[in-house]
Amino acid sequence: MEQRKTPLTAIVLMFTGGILILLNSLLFASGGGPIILSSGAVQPENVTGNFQEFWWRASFGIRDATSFATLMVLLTTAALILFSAILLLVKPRFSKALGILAFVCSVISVFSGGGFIIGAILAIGGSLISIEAPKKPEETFFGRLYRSARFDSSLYRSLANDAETSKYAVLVLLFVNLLSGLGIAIYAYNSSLVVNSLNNLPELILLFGGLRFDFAILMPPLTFMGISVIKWMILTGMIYLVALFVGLKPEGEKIARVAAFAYVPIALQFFIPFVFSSAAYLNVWPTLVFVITNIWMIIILIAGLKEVLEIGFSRAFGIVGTAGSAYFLLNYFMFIREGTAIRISPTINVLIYPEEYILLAVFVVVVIAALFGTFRKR
Amino acid sequence: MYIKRRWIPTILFVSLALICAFLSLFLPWWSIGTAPEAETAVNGGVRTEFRITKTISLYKRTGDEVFSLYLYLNNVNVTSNQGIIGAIFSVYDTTMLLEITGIVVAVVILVLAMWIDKKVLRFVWTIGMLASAVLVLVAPIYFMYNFPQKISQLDQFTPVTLPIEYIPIAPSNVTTFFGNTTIPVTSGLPSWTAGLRFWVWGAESGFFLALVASFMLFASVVLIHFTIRERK
Repeated sequence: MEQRKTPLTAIVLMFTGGILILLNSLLFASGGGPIILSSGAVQPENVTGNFQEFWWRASFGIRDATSFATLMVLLTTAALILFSAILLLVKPRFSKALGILAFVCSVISVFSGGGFIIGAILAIGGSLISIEAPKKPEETFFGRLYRSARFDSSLYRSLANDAETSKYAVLVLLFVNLLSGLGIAIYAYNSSLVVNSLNNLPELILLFGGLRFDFAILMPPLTFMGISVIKWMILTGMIYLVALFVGLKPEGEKIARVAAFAYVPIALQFFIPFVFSSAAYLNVWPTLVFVITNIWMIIILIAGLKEVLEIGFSRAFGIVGTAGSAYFLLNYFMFIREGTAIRISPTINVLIYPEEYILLAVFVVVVIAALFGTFRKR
Repeated sequence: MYIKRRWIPTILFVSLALICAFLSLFLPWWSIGTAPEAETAVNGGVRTEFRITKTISLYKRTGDEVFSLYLYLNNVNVTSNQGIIGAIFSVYDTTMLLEITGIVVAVVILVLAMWIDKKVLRFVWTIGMLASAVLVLVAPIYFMYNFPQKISQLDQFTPVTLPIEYIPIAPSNVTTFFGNTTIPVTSGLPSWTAGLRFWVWGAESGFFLALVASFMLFASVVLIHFTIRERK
């Protein structure tokens, strides 16, 4: 019988994630609720009333997942992740089944805080690598996501040269938008409860880590996944046109693959509901996450286009700035702004007022691109 | 004894389970205290943690002032009836005995399985490890079903004096292992607290760690089975 190679990276990730998840679950279970980190002790009227100070809290776990049965499930999942990691060491040929088991357990662990979030990320990463074993970790789906997030130029080159990676590109889009849609919908739904509820829900959500769920929160992820393909095509098209305009010979398919992988940081929007702030500042945290993840996406796109179009940083920056501005304008007026054709609810829309500032920003970006020599034909 | 390389994952996992089981002996198994929402409402809180090492920890916070105490249960004047203390100690002793027996059986089985690493004995070692897992599992289950009955007969949970705004609770109110009391509308506390919890009681880290240890020992049965079968 052929001996399968032991997927060591997967084992290390699953084991480390499992330990963190176990610790988090134990603290969650013995504390009888989520572990809450906050900017300080505060009275409820100061975070929910009319006169509010800025205050924030991060909650590892959900207050309502503290029944004995739920706690047993959560602790068992932590033990199962550790067991999967060790059994994978003994029986590498069960990598697919053990990977699936660890993946499911890691997702469930989010209810108890997901091993301070990092544990769940590590365990999910390890389990995804295990599912694809004996592939090299860097060639797996999770490996590619990780490499894209840390601007690995060899990934962008392989994306450009390997047409087989197109399926990964589509998978990335769906995966990222599923996570982002879920995070945004849960935050938006609970924020609306904080603002509009007349009973003690605002206190429960803000101070004690409560979260409420509704079937409505399933709609944004599905809609996001649908819209993501349109947005992806718009972004690809814009980059292609700008690249053509500046005298390059772009290939649409290559740009499309890199553009899809540039969306990877957007997946971090899943973690938005872990943090809430006082009611008057509920928009601050998601806006911050949006800005950070989108800047990250822009940097990936620049790094990717550098490799795909074989150009320097300044030209790549200029192309991304110009094409990105056009993409942002279309995205903003088609999907985000009030009164657009497609309304998604519950969701978070970061609106810019006055809207003239958007045009000013676009003008500034295009001027900078011109100064960078983007439009100089070679 | 020379340890064969293929036993290392199993040793690692069983050791992790045994560390969990051992630690559980010294961590609190049950506690009663004020819920976070009650603590916010009264700007303070009280918590009493019970360990099977016959000790209790007391925590009391009033505003910024924190008081904590770690005591042997029989030295604390929590009851006038020493017979009840004896009954609680009996629950502790049985729980600890089950837990320690489980740990010892697991260690013995692991060492024997590595030493007499023969396929014909695989069944014996797996049954032995299963027995240790069952013993470690029975300890918290026994504790869960016997502890509330005994603890509810105490005169009070804590020797510290509770502030007047606290909703009173008597040990006789504690009839189940997990539970809570809710804040009535007429409590005098802020209106947002109505219907939320004031006192909460239930299992603590030691209890949960013992359960995790037993799950891991059950999983070790599969590991031992596979490790022995691998032998050519």
